[in-house]
Amino acid sequence: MKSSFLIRFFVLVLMGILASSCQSSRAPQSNAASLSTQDSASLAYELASERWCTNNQACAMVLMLVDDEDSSKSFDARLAALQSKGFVEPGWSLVANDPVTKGTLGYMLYRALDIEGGVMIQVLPLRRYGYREVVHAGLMLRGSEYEPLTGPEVVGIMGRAARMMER
Amino acid sequence: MYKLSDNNKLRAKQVLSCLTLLLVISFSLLLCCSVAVAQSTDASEATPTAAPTVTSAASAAVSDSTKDSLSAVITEVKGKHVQYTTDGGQTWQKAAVNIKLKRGDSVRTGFGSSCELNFGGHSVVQIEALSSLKVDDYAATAQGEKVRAKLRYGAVRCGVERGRVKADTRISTPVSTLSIRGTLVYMEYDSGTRRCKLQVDDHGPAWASAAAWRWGSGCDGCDEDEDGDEEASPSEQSAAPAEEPNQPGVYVLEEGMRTDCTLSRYLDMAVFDRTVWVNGNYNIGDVSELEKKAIIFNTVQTDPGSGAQQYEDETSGSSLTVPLDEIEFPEGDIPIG
Repeated sequence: MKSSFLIRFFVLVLMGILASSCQSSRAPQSNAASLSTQDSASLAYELASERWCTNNQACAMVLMLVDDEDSSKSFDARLAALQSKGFVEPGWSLVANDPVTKGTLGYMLYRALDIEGGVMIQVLPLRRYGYREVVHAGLMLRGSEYEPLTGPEVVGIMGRAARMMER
Repeated sequence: MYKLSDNNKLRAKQVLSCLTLLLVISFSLLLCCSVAVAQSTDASEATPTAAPTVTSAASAAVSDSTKDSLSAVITEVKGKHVQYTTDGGQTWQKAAVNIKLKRGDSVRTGFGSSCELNFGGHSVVQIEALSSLKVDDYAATAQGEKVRAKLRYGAVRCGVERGRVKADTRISTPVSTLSIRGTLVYMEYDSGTRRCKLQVDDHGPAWASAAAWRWGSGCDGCDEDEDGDEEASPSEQSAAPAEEPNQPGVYVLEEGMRTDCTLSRYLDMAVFDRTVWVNGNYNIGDVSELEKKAIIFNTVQTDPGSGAQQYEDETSGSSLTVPLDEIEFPEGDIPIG
């Protein structure tokens, strides 16, 4: 009885160690529920050294790109502001701290930059085709619309988008 | 289930006690490792602030005997989101015109913002939107001026004059270093994909010469846009009377691109239409006298020190045409059929 209890305890401890070791390699870190800054220069500087760019940070960057500032206090407010501009579809289920995907950012940029799209995006306004239009415009590297973007990647994409807007 | 004998029970107890001991040891080892990792992380986080001060102080002590540290000046700020730091990125302040930046200082820009850094009038760096640039070094040496800047991310337009002061200007990214001399370049670095794009304009310094002619001397009337010279197309600029004799006070580009603002104005309107992806170290622009001699000796071409040439230039290879009477066929006419 005592030995079986010890063995079970031992197995549980091993499973705990295994689980804790796997935990560190998970991609999303819950660090962006609220943004530490409302300034595009400092947000880009922070993103350039972060592993992943979250949906919250990406939405803030897109709002800053278009309006020069992001007055939203929360992720929901940001989503509402983007929805009112037509950059985000109401059916999307975006989580604030999940890494932004190429499809999500691509579609937002396609709308924000008012890129003249092809037939597919006109017929089916999906993230898949928004991402393809942005790749075609040279803002983003080819990949998959489900591919998560790192912080430095988003800084590069948004920088090119800003320069495209200025032209 | 079966019952264990006393001997087996004793063995099982021994095995269990051994396992428990191993468990305790592994836990303690794990704990030690995590503490060590945490300490090393703290140390590595602390080194960027501590170590560079030591190394920069040491290098400064060595280099002070050979060169004097200078200050770059912010000469133009556009937009609301231009910030600079003088303490290694701990605090950022809003940038303004005439702020001086020394070795180790950085500038960053946000959306709709840009700024211009002037290195003694001989090198000008325009930092575009959503970019970050660090002044690694700016000093006067016996040979001229030395400018070292590090582009962390974003894009810059850089113009370096040639002529009076030999400016040794280098802009580096983690994947490439561009040594620029006597020309204008556009450089863009994406830290996410680690791709570095270099763009140069089609005509080079020869076109700037014509533009400088029309702008006149110095900055007199630079801000006035009387006859729309600023918006003049490249073709109009290049059509300026380059063959006119030099007038007193008129700026001539070949002797250095410096006037009060000619270099930065030209940099503003330059069209960078030749693109190349770079990965490595490159020299761009003018060549030294030694390099010039070597090139002439090896290729017996026109003077490469004259910089990039216009297509309209007589000496440009693309504009040379061979008269028909000079074409000779040793075997008679071209066989047809």
